[in-house]
Amino acid sequence: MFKISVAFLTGLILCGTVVWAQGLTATEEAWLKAAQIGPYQPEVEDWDAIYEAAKAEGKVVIYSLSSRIFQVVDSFMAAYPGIQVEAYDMTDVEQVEKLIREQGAGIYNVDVVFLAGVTTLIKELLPQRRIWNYVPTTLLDGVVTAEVIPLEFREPLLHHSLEAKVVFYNFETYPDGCPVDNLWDLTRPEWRGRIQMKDPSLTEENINFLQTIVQHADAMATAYELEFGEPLVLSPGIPNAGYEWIKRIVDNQIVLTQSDGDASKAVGTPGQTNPPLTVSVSSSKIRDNAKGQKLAIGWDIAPVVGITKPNFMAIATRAPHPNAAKLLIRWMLGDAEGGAGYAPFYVQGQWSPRTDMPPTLPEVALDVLKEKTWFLDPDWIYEHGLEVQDFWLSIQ
Amino acid sequence: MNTRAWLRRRLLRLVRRPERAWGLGLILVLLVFVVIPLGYMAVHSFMFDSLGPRYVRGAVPGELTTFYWQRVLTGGLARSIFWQPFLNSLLIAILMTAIALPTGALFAWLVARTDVPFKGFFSAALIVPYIVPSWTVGLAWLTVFKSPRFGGQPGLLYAVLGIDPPAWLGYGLLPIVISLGIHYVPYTFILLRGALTTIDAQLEESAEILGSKRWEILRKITFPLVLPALGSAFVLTFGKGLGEFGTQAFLGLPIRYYTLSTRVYAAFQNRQQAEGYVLTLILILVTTLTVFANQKLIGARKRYTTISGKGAYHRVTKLGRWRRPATALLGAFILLFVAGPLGLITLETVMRYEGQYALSNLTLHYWIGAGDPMLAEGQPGIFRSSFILGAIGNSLQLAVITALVCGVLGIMLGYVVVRMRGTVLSRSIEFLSFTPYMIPGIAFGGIYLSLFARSWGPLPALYGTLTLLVLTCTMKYLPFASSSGVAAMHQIDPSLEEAAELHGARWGRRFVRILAPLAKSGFLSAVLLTLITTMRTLDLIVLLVTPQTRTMTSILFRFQQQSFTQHAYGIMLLIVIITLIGHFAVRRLGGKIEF
Repeated sequence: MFKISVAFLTGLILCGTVVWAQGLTATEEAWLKAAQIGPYQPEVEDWDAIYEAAKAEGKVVIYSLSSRIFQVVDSFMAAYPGIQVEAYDMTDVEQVEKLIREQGAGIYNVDVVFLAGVTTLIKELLPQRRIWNYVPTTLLDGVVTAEVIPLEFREPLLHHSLEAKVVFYNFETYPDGCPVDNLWDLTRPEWRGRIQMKDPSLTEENINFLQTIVQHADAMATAYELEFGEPLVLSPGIPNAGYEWIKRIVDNQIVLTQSDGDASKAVGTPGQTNPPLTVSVSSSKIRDNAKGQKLAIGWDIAPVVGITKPNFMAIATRAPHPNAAKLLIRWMLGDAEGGAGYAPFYVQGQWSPRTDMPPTLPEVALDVLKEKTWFLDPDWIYEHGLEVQDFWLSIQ
Repeated sequence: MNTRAWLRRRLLRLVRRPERAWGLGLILVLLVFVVIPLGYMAVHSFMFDSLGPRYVRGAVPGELTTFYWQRVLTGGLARSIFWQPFLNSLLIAILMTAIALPTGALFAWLVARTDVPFKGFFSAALIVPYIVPSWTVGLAWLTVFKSPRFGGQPGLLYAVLGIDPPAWLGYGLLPIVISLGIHYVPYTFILLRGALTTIDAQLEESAEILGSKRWEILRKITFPLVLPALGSAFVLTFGKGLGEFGTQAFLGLPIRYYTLSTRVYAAFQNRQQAEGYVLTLILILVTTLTVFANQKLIGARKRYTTISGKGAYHRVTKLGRWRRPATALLGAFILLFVAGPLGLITLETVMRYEGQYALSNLTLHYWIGAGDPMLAEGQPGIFRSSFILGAIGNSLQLAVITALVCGVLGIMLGYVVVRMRGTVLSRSIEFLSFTPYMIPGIAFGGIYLSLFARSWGPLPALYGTLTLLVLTCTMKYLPFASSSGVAAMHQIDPSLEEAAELHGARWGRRFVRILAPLAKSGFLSAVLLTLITTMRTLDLIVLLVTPQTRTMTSILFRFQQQSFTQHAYGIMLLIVIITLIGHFAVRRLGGKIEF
């Protein structure tokens, strides 16, 4: 406990120093102080006082990547009478665009952003102080946040949940399990034209998948040897095994879709004799099985079944309702049983960063997920990501 | 004394001949709302954007550079980023225009000039393809031609006949061209129907008396007279062919058939703004060239006036033995491309789970049900959701106000452009009013958010107001209004106005008594086109809406993204119904002129 507090304090001081070094404006400083955020967040927060202050603010505005937010709105407003929630359901790009354009125009409208674009958030919005990391010191059931949410999921930015982008197969057609056991299987002729993915040039998450493949080129090379029993021979001009894999799945006529849903439907529709596979489709699509889809995740694929991407919550700089924002963020982190604020996200294929919340897929807890998937690395993607994006363009 | 007399003369002239004053006013509006955004794009295309430092080490966002222009036009990736997609776009635009223009013209002639039956019905039904999102025809296409190799539900061709259609039949150029061609038939139809109804049939009859053949009359008299309207239809259709995104993505992406518009969209999706601006500017340039070519080709003949002081009457061409085939053709078109897709959409809204065609799967839940957490994440039915009902109200307000403002502006524009033809002012107004058509909606909306959200000079802060949405939609859809206005004003003989002037009628009176009634049909087609387009506009306003100003399309889009198919289709159906009602209302107003 002591160690954590020390780490926490050191972190705070470091944050503070960095902030000072970059020069906070007086207005920002005053807002931080009044809102008790960042360097001014107290070590123990008084939630009754925060609720009182939030009631005085009267409302809270959130931009959300998921329409499931509207269920959160209902439960939050029932639990905290006197605070209206205004929720906007927007994609990542729209949220970032809107935030930057609004702040550029001197409009401070939003309180909480709930989105996924890890590189943009951590390498742009956070250092530019457009958003602030806010971690409630204690959670709804009174537990100390630092004890149930590991540091990596609190810093530099608080994780709301994690989702994997994975290979799906149709378990009705393949009752004995996934028909492939290696990503390199997808380059074989029998899967020609039978792999689907949302167009990576339309979404950061899917280009992130390809970028992460390139980042782990060595593991991809090893996986090739495992599958074919001989070392990989790179095509002319291709620098490593990651790029080689991308080139080969494109040569194998990968089918691109406009949405994850289109790809997962193509795979999961019942009654197919020869269904395709997906790559990099959101693991939480498995909830469509309740609607009759036949989706299963190929967990044992080498070297990994896909990537894991975080969903973040943060407070926008100069948010007009910071106290209500704090209440909402705490509400959305749920409790040890899930809780009403987290319930809409407590589904298979989505993971809470809370160690005290039982995983929805018992055989794939968060630590297993770390072995089965690669977690996104914003630093690497920031440095090299666009090279991969250009490579993808060049082979079209 | 001298100066006062001079001033008085000037003032009098301004009142008597307001086109100059109007022209100056319009140019001012266009400068603020078109030139400044254009300049913004041009300047920012030469600056590193926020991703700049990731492309070029040490680059600072905002620093001047030619990096993006080089990258797009001459760099190693230029072929993939620009040239190949550009060629694809050109091909699509040419071919789809080749489908849409003749079809629309034929239908307009049948409905406006012949004794084909059920005119009212055909008139309304033929604009439906334009109301429904462009990809609905594409969707219908896939339900027939989808190969099982692409997974999911295979198409009917395979399911019923066991034929596996080749990939080029299901995706790519052919289906894109056909879907878009059909989708834009209504442009030509609406514009040409308006023009055909204002032509005095005496012109044609005189020719007949002089012994001309019917085909010759069509070619030598009718065709040249409707050429300006046809020209507008060509420019609008061709421009859309270059700029349309939905269908090109829906039917192109699966086989990685990229076009300029999918590239532009991808650039903005990836926040590669500067690259997006470069591509957009090129798009504007290409379309500008098309507009100029169009003007060069038919410009000289543009001065035809068809409404003169003499009495006009309309003659109905008897189709004789061609009446049945013509009716059948219209009927088949509507059955295939209007009723079919609409039926499919309606069916989807009453299915508990998509794609399971069984009676037990039918439900009205998505229309009137209370929320059920197992279906559509607990969204209540359309008529039970105050969220959706509020959006319907907003959309109605937005569309009606925008359409009226555009209609009025369109007529003013038309008046100025036509009466001052040949002047720099006229040319600049015509050109500037068309430019917004070429700026992708998402970029246009983003620039407006940056420029006009906060108070700026004499303009108040517009953020979160319906006014901002109306302003954005008005400027973006001004091209519809201006082309209808110009087409309408072209046909009015200035001698009518001059005669009234000689009799001492002041300008206001002349406008109300002469110009307005004669231009009514042009005004109404401008209103109609703007109304329809605003009802279904999405990417333009997506960055500008707030919860209070949400529209039907903004929530439809999100429902679709989240696979709440039934809600999305239900709202789409409502948009179609509302637009049809609007169409009937507009037609009732202009009924006398049309038939």
